[in-house]
Amino acid sequence: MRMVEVKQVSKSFGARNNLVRALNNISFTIDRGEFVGVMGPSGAGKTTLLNIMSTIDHPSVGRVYLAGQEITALPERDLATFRRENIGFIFQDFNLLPALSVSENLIMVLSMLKIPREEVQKRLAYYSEHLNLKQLLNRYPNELSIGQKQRVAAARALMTQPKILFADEPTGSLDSKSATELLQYLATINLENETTIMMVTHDAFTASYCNRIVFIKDGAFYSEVVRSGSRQQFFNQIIDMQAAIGGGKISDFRNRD
Amino acid sequence: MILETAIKNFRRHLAGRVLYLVALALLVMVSYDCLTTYQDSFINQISQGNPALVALLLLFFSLLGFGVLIIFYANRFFIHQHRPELGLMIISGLSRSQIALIFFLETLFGELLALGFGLILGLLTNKLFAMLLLRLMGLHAATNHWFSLAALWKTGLGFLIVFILVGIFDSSRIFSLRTVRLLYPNDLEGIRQRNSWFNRLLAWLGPLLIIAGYVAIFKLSWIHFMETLRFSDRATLNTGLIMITLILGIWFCFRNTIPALFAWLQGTNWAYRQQRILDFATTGQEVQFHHQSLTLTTLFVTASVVLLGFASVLYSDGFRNLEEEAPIDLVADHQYHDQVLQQIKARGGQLKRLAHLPVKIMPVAFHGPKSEVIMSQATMPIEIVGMHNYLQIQRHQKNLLPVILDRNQALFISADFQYQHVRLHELMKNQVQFADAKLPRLQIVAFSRVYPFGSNLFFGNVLVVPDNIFEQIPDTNSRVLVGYRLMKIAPDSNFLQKIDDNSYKSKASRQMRYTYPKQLQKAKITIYQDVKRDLTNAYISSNYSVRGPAQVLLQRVLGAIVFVIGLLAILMTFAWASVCSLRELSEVERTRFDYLTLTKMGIEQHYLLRYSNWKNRLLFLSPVIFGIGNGLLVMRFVGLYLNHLPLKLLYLLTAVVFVIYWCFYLFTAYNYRRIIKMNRPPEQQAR
Ligand SMILES: Nc1ncnc2c1ncn2[C@@H]1O[C@H](COP(=O)(O)OP(=O)(O)OP(=O)(O)O)[C@@H](O)[C@H]1O
Ligand SMILES: [Mg+2]
Repeated sequence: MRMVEVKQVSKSFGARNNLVRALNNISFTIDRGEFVGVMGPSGAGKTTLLNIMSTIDHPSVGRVYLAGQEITALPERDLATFRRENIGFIFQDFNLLPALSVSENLIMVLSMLKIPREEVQKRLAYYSEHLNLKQLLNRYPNELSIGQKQRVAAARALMTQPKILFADEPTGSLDSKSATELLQYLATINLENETTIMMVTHDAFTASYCNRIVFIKDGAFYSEVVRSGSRQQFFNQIIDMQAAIGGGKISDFRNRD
Repeated sequence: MILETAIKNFRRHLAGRVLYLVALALLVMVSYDCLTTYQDSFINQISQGNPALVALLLLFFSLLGFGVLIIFYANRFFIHQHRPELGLMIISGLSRSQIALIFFLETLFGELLALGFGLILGLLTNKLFAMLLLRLMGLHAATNHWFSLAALWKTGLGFLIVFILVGIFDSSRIFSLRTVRLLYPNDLEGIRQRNSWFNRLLAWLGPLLIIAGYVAIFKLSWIHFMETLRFSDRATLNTGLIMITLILGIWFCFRNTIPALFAWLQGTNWAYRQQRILDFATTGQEVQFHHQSLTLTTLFVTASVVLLGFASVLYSDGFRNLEEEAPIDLVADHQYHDQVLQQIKARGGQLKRLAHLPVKIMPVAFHGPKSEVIMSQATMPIEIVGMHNYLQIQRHQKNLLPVILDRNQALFISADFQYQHVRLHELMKNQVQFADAKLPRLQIVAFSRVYPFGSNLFFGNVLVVPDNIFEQIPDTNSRVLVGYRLMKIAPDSNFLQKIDDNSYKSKASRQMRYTYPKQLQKAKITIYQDVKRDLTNAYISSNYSVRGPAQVLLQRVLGAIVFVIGLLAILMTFAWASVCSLRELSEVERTRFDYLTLTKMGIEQHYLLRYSNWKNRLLFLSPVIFGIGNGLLVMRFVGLYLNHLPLKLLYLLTAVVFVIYWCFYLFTAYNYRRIIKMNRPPEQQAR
């Protein structure tokens, strides 16, 4: 089943005399239960693409279908409901409301959805158990380390049991141990709950947790790599593709598996 | 959950918003005080429905309007501060109306808190307020009226409407926010100035307009609009023109000139060698980002200084005029003496004779620099009094200039002199020649604008001369004025009002016709009494004067206006300073990232803190200084016009304005540092 369909999307920024084409007629699809990585050189348009697919931004031209709905045609009023029911997010840095404690951050949206209290408590128990947040529930965001924050963010995004999870460089500010934990967890829920995940990353090691990597360059689809064998093989394939696209970083070549 | 979130948000931001809430509370307090006092029947009774009390109502409504403005701006900065949170809420699936509700509740808590506090403060300070007002109005009465249910609910309702109104603005703002902008804030880059010819033109236009405004202040005639207050008037038009020029000039300066200048500075090699200058130059974009509020700050400070200036002018000048016009309870010359005295005695009033003053009159000519300007003709008539009598009166009329004259010296008294743009030292070089050739020339050695017994009783210019000279002056047209103190009769009674009114009627006034020959000896003075006032070119004076209800009324109007204007200016300063403080604090979240990056780059913390202090100071105080400069310049000009402007009082009040802003700056800088340090990444926190 189609989860995401991007149809001939273009996005330009700026006025006429200094127009930036961030996305240039890009099209692709993601099926339900896929774990897709998006890679490409800096400035390729990854964040822009993610923003458009996740209803944060609007494309200049083109359409995006999410869970069968054409989100590019939805009015803001319906978008709120749609987001609540279908989408989860993990950003690189700002993920939590600083005024609320960890548990309040986790249950805030749910309690506004009028989901029964027992159900909310059940999910809270489940995710805090899984993401190892039990001791942190009563703390406030400014009392957490960045890795802890990121785990809370993942839990927050998953509490609504979204159909699709978007993540923009979620491991960008994590040390390798925390990053690995988070990624392993994402891989688990992808398998267990059939949550579709789309993740933007620079890092080949992070990307190697995905099933498929979409490479974009200069705002257009460049190529894709599908995982067939072991993670190590996939990792090497990714690195080769990065070298071909010309956007790899030295650190990516270090074998960290 | 919405409520809880709102409460938590409110609590989290309370520390940084305390002063803003205090400012709001003060607005509420004064509004309540105004209404209670306005409605108070006792005060209305003792001030006899004085129209000046309407000023209180005006103040009430301007405070409500000002309330809208500051809450609007404060909330604007709150939204700015909340941007990432709002973005997160949007993408978590909260609807815009839920978000708007959270925000509205969050701000409403603060506002209600301020409202409650303000009303309580209002109840507490009401008596003080009324007493201050009465004191300034010259009424000696105690009031004990402090509770008024009507005023309480009217003030509450008024402010609630203000809160809801601003809430509606905010909601529409929240509905129009774009999600991308919230999550990827790049406002500073977004408005980076394009170097188009238009922007460059505006950058030059800014200072040019300001200079043009300054020149216009000194060259165009505008100040008369204060007297006429008519909109069709030329002076009113000029005033408007000057204001618009200045406002546009200031606006362009903050919007274009300073950012362009700083961008240019940043590009020079020279700035790179001077760390301070580079720091300075990097604030250009922030100036541009906040140009609106910076412009408003400048304007508000200017307005405050000008208002305070006018309040202090009114205070000392108005009261002084009052004292000069009718310094003594009752003065009459022989003609009306018995008539007026009998009337008063018949009413039960008692009189105490204070002093008498023989007055003679004669044409004179001035000789010396600018003498033509002083006389405005070739010669002029002058009333003459003797030094001895003058000093006798000085015992009872303290505002008279005490002088001891030698032989051949004279004191010149004139109310018009100050409008003639002649300097005092030029006047002092003049000599007076009398029409009577036997009399010696006298040297002017002193000048005063205060007339013995009050200016109403004289035609225009008066000369105080040594007694031996006074005796030699012929008695033609001379008269004797006698001054009394009035007792056992109310100063504002209708009875005195009638006597006072009658003293202005043409029958009771003295008129003088003066011919202006080239030669002094040919000048002729004719005095008319009891004729209809139809003489053109005539000098007029009263035969008697009563310090009556007109003066009392004037004093009260003045008092009320001074009170209202002064209060408005100080409140405006306080409230707006608190909004400025919020503006700076709303930036912390954003600078925090820069701050973190820079610390990671190994830049020392104390340097960064110094930089942020410096930036705060620049953004906070530069418009204040600019505004004070503007205000003082305007008042300086008014001072040229009224050369006795009490600038000392104004300087003091200006210093108060500056100190208020300075305190707010300290508060802001302290909170800024606190938040920046609080947001240090956890790795750096001691555990
Ligand atoms: N708001 C904007 N205004 C103007 N140009 C923009 C804006 N946002 C992005 N761009 C431009 O669009 C292009 C794509 O940006 P995008 O942020 O999507 O890149 P990216 O692939 O996420 O890069 P990175 O890996 O560095 O995060 C870039 O050239 C960028 O300069
Ligand atoms: Mg990006």
